[in-house]
Amino acid sequence: MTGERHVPSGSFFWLGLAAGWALMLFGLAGLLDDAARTHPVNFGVWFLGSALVHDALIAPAVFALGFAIVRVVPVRVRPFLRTGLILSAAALVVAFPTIAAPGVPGNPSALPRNYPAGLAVLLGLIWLGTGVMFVLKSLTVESRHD
Amino acid sequence: MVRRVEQNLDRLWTRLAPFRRGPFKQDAFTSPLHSRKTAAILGIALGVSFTVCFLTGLLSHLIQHPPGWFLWPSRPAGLYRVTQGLHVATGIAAIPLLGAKLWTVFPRLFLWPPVENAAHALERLSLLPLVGGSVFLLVSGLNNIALWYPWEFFFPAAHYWAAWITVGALVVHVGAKGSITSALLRRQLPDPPAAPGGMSRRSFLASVAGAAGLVTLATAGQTVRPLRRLSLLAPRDPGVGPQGFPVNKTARSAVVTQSATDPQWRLIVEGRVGRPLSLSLADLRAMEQREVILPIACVEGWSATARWRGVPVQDLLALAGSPEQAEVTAESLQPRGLYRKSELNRLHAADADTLVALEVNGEPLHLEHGYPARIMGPNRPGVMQTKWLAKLVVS
Ligand code: HEM
Repeated sequence: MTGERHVPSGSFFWLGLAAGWALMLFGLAGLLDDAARTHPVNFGVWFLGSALVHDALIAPAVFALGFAIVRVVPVRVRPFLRTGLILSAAALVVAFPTIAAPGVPGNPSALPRNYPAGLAVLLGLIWLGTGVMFVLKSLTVESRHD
Repeated sequence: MVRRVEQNLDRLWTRLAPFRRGPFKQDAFTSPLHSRKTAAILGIALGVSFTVCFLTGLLSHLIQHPPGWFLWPSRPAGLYRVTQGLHVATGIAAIPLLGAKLWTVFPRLFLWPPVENAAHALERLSLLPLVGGSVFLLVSGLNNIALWYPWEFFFPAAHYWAAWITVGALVVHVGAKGSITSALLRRQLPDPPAAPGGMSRRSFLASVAGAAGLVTLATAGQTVRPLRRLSLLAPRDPGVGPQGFPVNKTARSAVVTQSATDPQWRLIVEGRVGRPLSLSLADLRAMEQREVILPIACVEGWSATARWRGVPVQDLLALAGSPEQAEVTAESLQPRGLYRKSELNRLHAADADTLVALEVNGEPLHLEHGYPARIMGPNRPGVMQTKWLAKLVVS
């Protein structure tokens, strides 16, 4: 995809650029105006940090995993493995704060469940499901070969 | 001038060519899933979900901080529950969409040459707030519903202004990618076929859609009651808490444990009224009671329906001789805090179902739910259903 180039042009682009930057500057002005509550420096760390942590840590790790899968895993298993990994990653991200958060002292109704157990159940279901799909697929392919 | 800059740029990239290594190399990324069409389809899904989040979020902001032109109605009673439930559920569903989109377009971070002209430079510069903002909004929102604040800023304010920045960046992005997106979807541009043994785009997108569905099911039970047992990752369970539903602010953290249980407690009605009132709990109980079934709908996206009983605000205003069309500020015993007070606009104050509630589900309010009295009205965010009520100030 890196080879495909597409340089923006046209009135739609310039209009969007002007309107979009107006909105961004409005947001930035509001942020700075409300500095007592928004803590712009700390905000900036989290905002830019979000892009940086993704681009420099998460994405390379995911790509390393992808390359490893292509090396090690047999071709017919790969699509199922990938589906399982995509589903698991989503479950992990959404479960993360419920497990990492300290909870609220004196408020047992906040984060009331056993989240590590819930995550384990979800992951179990995901891999059971992908495993069953793989077996079914292999069976239909083999019977077609007969 | 522009031509000269572009020529110099060309020369610069030629000179830097030996450094075109690693991920910058042509064909460093092999999966045909990194195609523009995949980016376009995921982009549209994200565009829709971020628009839903922005509009519902803006609405919630306007309800809590109404400018003069904005008058939020008290009907339909469950509207805020739906809009805010949608805000949180859509944000959660957008997490796998954003992950998939960033995976798909990641190779373009290493585009060569990095910029070709001024328009291209401005477009690429706007990608930083787009990516930073989208990740920031989803991460901070997800932490917020787990009541986890590992930062210094006040979440609602930071999330609100970040939304404007991100939507601005999204508008730039749609302006830049709009025409190519429609060309791709109308199959006017070529698209690489799936690699042998690789995943097809169809099954990639199906997996991503499946992941969005999975995380939705795993959390939506915090507001869609029938799903509550299924939602293993929901940060709230609408059936768990004192008297059968959750608590946000506890009496201890609001520092009202003493004042709310003091037998000398009175509800004061004052301001623009003919006869200021000072009513004990017994006085309130002696008045005609009204029972309503209303949801408590938190900004954090959970909600729970309960049966509330108490005195309509309308009746108290009439007793105090307040003018028609009055607006009311409800003040809590809470000594401090941003949510110490809430406004009842004229529609909410005049709605017969807006109560000074004394009971829930057939019992006196639990201290955690606002004993001795709280506001409970239709179509209001939970933070505006003021607990441990002390005063109604009419204006
Ligand atoms: C939160 C929402 C979105 C985020 C974070 C996002 C992010 C990105 C990023 C970082 C790129 C790579 C840019 C480049 O180097 O060219 C990209 C490419 C792309 N986006 Fe989005 N996007 C979003 C929404 C959209 C929407 C709403 C559309 C449709 C109008 C869209 C259509 C595209 C297309 C077609 C490409 C590939 C363009 C090409 O190869 O030239 N995106 N997106």
